[in-house]
Amino acid sequence: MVVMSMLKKYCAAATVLMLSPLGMAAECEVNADAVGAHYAISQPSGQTTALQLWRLGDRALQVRPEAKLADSYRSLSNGEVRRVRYFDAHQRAIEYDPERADWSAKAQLLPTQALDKMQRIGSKGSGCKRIERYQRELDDGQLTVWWNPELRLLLQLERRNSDGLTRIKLVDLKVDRTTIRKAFAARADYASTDYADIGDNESDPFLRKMIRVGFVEHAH
Amino acid sequence: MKNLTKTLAVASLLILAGCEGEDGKDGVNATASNTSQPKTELTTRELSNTVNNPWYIASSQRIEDAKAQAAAIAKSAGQAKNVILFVGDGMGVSTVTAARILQGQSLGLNGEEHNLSFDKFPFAGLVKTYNVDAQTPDSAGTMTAMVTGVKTDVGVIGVDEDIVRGDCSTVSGNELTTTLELAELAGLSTGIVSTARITHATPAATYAKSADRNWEDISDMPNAAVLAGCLDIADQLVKFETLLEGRYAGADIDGIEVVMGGGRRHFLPNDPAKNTSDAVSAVEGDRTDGRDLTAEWQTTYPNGNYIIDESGFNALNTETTERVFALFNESHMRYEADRSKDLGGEPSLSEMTRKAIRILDNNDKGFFLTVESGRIDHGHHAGSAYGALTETVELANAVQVALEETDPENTLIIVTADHSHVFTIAGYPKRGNPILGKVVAVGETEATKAADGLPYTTVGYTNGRGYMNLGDSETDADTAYSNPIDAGRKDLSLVDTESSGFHQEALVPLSSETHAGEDVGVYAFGPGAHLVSGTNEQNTLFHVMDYALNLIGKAEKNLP
Repeated sequence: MVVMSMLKKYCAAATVLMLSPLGMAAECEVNADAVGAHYAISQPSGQTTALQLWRLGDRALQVRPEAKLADSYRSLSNGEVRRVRYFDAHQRAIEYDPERADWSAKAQLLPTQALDKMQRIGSKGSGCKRIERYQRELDDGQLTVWWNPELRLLLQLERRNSDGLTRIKLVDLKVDRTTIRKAFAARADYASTDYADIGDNESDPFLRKMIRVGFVEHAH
Repeated sequence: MKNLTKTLAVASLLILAGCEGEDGKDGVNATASNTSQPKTELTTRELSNTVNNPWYIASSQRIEDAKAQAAAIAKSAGQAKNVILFVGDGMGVSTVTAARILQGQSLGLNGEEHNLSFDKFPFAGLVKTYNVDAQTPDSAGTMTAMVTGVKTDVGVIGVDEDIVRGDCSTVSGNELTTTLELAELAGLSTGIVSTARITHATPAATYAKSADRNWEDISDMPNAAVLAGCLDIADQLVKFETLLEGRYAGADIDGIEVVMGGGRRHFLPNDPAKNTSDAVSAVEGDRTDGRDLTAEWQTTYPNGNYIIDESGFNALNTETTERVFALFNESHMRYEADRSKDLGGEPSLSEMTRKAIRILDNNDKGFFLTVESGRIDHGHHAGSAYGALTETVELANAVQVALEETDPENTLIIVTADHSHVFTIAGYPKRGNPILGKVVAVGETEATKAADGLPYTTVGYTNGRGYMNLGDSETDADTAYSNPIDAGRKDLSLVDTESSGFHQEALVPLSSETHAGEDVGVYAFGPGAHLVSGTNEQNTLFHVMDYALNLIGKAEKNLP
């Protein structure tokens, strides 16, 4: 009952988020291929960070504002995924070679395969208002996921273990295509470099830093 | 055999004579000389163990072949009709040795005794690769040296050392003339083939003048450089004919006949509507000036063929094709080991070389062709010996194609590298030990353990990303960049180090393995090849090509 109560409570919040762009139409008017999902990630330590997931057709963009990093992905027709990492503090981008990758992990955060391995323990609503709840026991705790199958969207993820609770929670949803396109276009002007070329660019301070200290994870 | 025995006997006498001390004796004390009289002649029986040895016979034959080839080679100036310059980007001596062994082992041999196609060239030497301002060089300065005869700074294209890198205003007055430009002025056909982007440093050095190797398209340039009138490298390629004619009053050239490589992104506008079916980026083109240089090229050369994939390549009729502009990839072309995975399909380096020669040799005056294996360098940067060596083997295949498609009496072929990499062949592996395997000592069957109790590979890197085991289905060396740096020693006991996805250990952790500063090899065959010997400054190679073709003389003759 406690679980159902929490689910109800969450569902109400999630539904509010989702109803606003959806209106009250019975049929889902939101396209799963054009969404902008904003998440709050809370760690057992109490630290909270943001994560944005943007989807537009064969593209996905994951933005980590605190780290000043973003990764864009494009799904190719041969099953490969092409990644570009953006360094917002430097306004630079590094391009990776296309490689075999699970597109669902990039576009949904939660890979479809991972969801398939979980047990569905509840559901509510229909269409794009449907919320499914999944659970899986882990070696050191429990994983619980609230999922919208119509939008292929993670609503909430909780992982409980001896360290405490880690939560990823949907806090805002953008469905306006202009807004979504702007999110993808925001970094289009960054100077970009093919990763294969960074070894030939010792004179470039940004790339020299990459060569010497490896991945520039933080914007210092 | 009789003559050889006689020669050896005479040589032995001379050697013995040379051992005599100042007192006229042999330097050995009297007691010793009394008990062991020195031989004054070797009998056939005593020599038979040497002269009948297969190693002896093979090496003796090699000398005979070299003598015959040297005698046959035209040594006077201007005897070559064609010159082909092969550049293995980053193909240091250790890379050549390891690739030779790898190819030999793939043929079922021990490997060490095998020869790559250019190993058999009669003339070879060493090349000092440093740039004017750098002990360990880059491709821009080194290729500029090779094709202009002038050493210059790191990172600049087709300009001398008076340039200030990144300063457009210093380009004017410091431009150098290249072999490709001279060949055009001389009326020869010209071609550039590369597996890298065709605007990348090595191919760009043949046709462009730029204060920075990275100014591949206008979006890569600072506004000040654009406003000051400097042209990006892609633009210079498409405008090559006009630009060269503008630099030499009265010159009337017909432009580059063969351009094949990657780098479509630098020729297309930043507009998704211009994406090709082969695009991997959401917006394939980078150009921010709205220009489609591929369309401009087609307008300039209505009889030319612009192609982007393997089917277009296969459809080329080399006897009727006037010129071709082939951009097979948005960025660099695929690694040879990874080529089959390309969306649109790409030809191999050897296939491009064959087509290029067959198109260029339609000109009775001859041709100048540069072929770069651009991804040897990238394989090493990624710490993948498999990637770098399979690229090197493909370069050797391309050289073999060139040998098959040309006449050695009128075609000078030079094979060299721009610089080396920190790639080593180490330990004491037994003969025939897999070159990508773990060291197994002579007489042993199990891997040798180092002082830390762990096995180690024969080939490795001084620096770079270090160990990765990405499996035998991974054929793209650059996938390494998606994995964390993991330098230092690892337990390789259960790891298949010969798989395509294995990346060698590295000592110093860097996110990209680096170039190295030692000399590289140069190998030559054909008219003028005899000038390739000893240890040379890299810019000397220009003079070998000029000598063979009499390029400057022919160009001057064509100018009013």
